Amino acid sequence: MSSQAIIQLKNVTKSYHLGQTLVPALRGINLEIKKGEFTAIIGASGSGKSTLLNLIGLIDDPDGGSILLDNHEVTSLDDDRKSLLRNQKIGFIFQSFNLVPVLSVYENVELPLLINPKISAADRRSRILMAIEDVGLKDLKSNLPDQLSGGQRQRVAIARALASGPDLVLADEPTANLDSTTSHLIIDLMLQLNAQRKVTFIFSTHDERLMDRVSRIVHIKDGVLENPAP
Amino acid sequence: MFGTWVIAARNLLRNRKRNLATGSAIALGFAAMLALGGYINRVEKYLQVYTIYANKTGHIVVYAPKGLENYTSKPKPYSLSLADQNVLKAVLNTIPNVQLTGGQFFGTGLIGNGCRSVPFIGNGIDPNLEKLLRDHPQLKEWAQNRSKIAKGKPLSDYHESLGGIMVAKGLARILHKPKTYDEIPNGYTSPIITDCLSPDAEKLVAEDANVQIATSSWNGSMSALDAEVISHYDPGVTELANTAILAPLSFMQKLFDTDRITHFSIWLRNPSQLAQNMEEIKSGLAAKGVQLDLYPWNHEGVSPLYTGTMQFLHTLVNFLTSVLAVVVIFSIFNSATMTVIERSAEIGMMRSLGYKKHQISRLFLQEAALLTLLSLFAGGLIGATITLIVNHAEIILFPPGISGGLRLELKPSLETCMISASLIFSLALVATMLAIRSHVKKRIVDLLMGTNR
Repeated sequence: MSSQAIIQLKNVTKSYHLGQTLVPALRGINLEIKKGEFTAIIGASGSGKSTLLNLIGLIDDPDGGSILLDNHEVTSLDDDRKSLLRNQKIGFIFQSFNLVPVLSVYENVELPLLINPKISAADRRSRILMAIEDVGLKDLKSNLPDQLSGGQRQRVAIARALASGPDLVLADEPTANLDSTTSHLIIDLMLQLNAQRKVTFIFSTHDERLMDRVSRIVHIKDGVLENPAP
Repeated sequence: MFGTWVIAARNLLRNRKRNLATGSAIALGFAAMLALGGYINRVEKYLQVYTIYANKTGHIVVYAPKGLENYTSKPKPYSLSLADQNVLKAVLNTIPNVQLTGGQFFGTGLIGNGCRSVPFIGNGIDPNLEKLLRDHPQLKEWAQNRSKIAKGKPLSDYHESLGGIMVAKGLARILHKPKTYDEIPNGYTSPIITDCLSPDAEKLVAEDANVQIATSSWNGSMSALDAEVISHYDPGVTELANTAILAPLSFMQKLFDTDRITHFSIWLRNPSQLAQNMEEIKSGLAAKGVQLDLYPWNHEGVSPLYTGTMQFLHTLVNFLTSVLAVVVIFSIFNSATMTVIERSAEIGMMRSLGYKKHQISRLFLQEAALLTLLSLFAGGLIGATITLIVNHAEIILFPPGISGGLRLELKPSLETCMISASLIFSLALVATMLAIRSHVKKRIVDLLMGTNR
């Protein structure tokens, strides 16, 4: 067990029922991600990369194997404990941004902080403003999502993921809905935040053009990692 | 700075048409409950005040032991003696909440105009007490038409030696006595009608206010008295419209040849102390070695009109409330179900951010609570408008059993409003909870993808 690892997957398997058929999505995954790494999981559609991120992010349960977050086994935790971990240790960035359309940029970023009783109102405010400033949306904090471009919306999602000060940020195809220039800007932003905040980033993509920007690439094909070791 | 209530408020603006439809169902349901509750409250108050003051039952009515069941068939042994009355009055003098008291005499017989006799149901009461009851503020507030005399003057305006009686309007018509005592010229002598079938007999009968009252006295002998119709009044219920007379207590006692009374009524200053006062009277009587039967005004045997009517109305209200409750539940359930399905991805996102299942449920419950509160407010305004319109429309209803009509008024009580609002609010939360419960339990990945895998 590595003390530097933020995430360790040991022989993790996951299958889905498709009608009567059991479709294997992940087959015996072993993977270790170190703290502060900026990792891309590359694979074609249906290769299992989203499933892998879902398991790492504790929003789905594996059929077998174990997952360690910060050296703690998490697969057997109850739903509330997993929710707490997601809130305090993991940030999520989604392909389709998943912003609440009736809330402003500021309010969207505030969402994960609202349920954290350890954060005071003043601390919450400073965290939100810092996160918004970090993603370059200081002047747009009162705007609603539909008043923003796709790239700006994804920046809001990044700010939301970072606001609670997580150790790990997971991004599932964060550039899939963006044009090539914006995609590069978003990846650059994530890289910059990775360097600034020492936050571990894991993102999935099938966009080969982004490969040269990341420090580590994990290839996945048919539910099997092709290069799990760093 | 914002909280989850602000999220709830903003989310209400998302599906305005749907929320407007749901809110309208709640608002109209609440307004209907207010109007219905106002009507029931009006009728109940009317019947309550009618029973206690117009019908002179009192808040508490006292009979001889088993007198309520038996005094009509065996009046003498089941009536109250002077000694009973004196003991009772002594006990009542010790209870400050007692406002008015009085013995009454209930009896039946025949009343005639010289040519025709018909049955009457008579009530004898102290004329001054009768006036106090007729002028009582409660009667003026809730049953104003019962405080007015249709024609003539009250018993208290005449000396008891006159033999003046008040006659129900219908009975006066049957007896061909359109005139009251004061309308008869001084010195007018009633003619002797020798042929009641002659064409002018009816006209001659109508020229004076004299009637003859006959009955079988409590001593078993026939008894008859002359009386003067001093006024016409509306007794308030159809079964008495053609039969009722109101006479001084002394007149009825003289007619029935007794110094006893059939029952004794007690009116309270503060009716909420009724049960306590009844206990005080019972223990006071027991201490003096007297046993009498006490009944509250709403006892089924004492006021069958009130209890029967209210049982019917409460059944009706329960049925209509159930229908409204089902409409509200289904409206909210349907709306909440569609909302959670549409916002599956959002629920999944929030679960990903660390929101627990109960925190998600709470968000939707807050939305439902806000929508319901706004709708209840709107419903309250609609209900108040309906109430104002109806109360100014001067609509006269003729409910079964009530003579002379009853002005349609809606008088929603604060208690009814609060109960209705609480009921709707609770139903809204339960319906929302039922709608979202299974959805919130779904796997986060399924919620994010909007699938049911």
